Amino acid sequence: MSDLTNLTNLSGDKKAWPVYITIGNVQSARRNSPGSMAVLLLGLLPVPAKLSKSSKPDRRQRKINAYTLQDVFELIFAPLQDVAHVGIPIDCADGKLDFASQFSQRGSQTIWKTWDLTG
Amino acid sequence: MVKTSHIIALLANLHGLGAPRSTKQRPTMPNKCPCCRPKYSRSGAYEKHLRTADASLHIILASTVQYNNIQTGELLNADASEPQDSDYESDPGPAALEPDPFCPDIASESDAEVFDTTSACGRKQNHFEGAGELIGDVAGFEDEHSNLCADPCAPFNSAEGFKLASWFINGKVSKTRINDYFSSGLGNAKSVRYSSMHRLENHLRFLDPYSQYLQWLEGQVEDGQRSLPFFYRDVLGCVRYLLRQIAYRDDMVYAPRREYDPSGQRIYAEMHTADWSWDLQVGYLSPTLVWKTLAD
Repeated sequence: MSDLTNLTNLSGDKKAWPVYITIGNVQSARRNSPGSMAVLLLGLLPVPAKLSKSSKPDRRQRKINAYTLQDVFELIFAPLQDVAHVGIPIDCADGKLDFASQFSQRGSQTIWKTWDLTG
Repeated sequence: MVKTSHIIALLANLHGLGAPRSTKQRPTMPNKCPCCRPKYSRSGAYEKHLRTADASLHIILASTVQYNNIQTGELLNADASEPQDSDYESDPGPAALEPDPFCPDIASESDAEVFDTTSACGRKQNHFEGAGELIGDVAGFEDEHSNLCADPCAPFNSAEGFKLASWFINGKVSKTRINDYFSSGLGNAKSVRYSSMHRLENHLRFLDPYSQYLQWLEGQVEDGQRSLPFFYRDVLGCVRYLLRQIAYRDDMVYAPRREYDPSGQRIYAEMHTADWSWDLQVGYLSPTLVWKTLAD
């Protein structure tokens, strides 16, 4: 789901890792059907240059790159950190306002899945 | 909680069309539940769905046996000896075991009342007060719906305009080609009320009123050598957007469930059937907390 993607709409040689998000509250039959559009593009991560494992500076740079990606994820998911414990009201499609502590948790679960795929 | 449409379907199914039933005649039976979306290619999966759609159907099924003993007996045996379906993706079998996620009325009942199939096994059910409970109405929701009912084609002035637009979009026609279409005089701009891609885009923006949730943000990150740009959306905005979509309304689940197959084995299928979903429920909502969050 998060394979390296060429951004052809830009200059052609741009590459990025897409991260997708969806919510578990939608039944999986609907969520996973191609036309449902229940999966949103959450972000495009920067792709660091490829480095060899042999040289010491390269190894160091690989580590830095890994931490950089973690920072990016932390920034993207920062809004969930606050909400996960307290909860927020969210407008639902049935016209009712639901208390959403559990939703945000579910959201973060989905994101962690995506994280695993990316990592 | 007996679901009459299910029972009617089941009874019609069991009694057949008068002729003695055999396995070869199975294709003549309806393969679609009258109130649920998924279709069932195999009669076994369909009958399993009907049987597990409601716990009370067991009683109906049992009472039918005495009138239709031979065929029903076969049917029950076939069900019992049928192996568990191996391929979840291609086979609706395990999905059919769910207590009816696609029937909105049952789903909404389950918000307050946990689907209880465990009494036969003597297992304890946890019940969460207030799980999936509503705390208010969405502002402007009624207006939105009355507008939609008053003018279902809005922002297009006719169904023709809407159909042409969806043909463009679904066919992935490029913007220049759409402009060409109108400039070459092929389209009747008066009847569809738009004559260029630019005006069509304005219409499309109207169709997606929650697109403000999906704004793109740009970030910069340093990797020690250079500064890399990256793009992202607000996570909460994405969640709000998905929860707000009317298109998913009938497929939304908020209350947790525990599901069991006929032999009493726990089934883990959707997210809300997992233990994790139970652990997450807000057991007690303090009124002050709700008021505080609402005020924010």
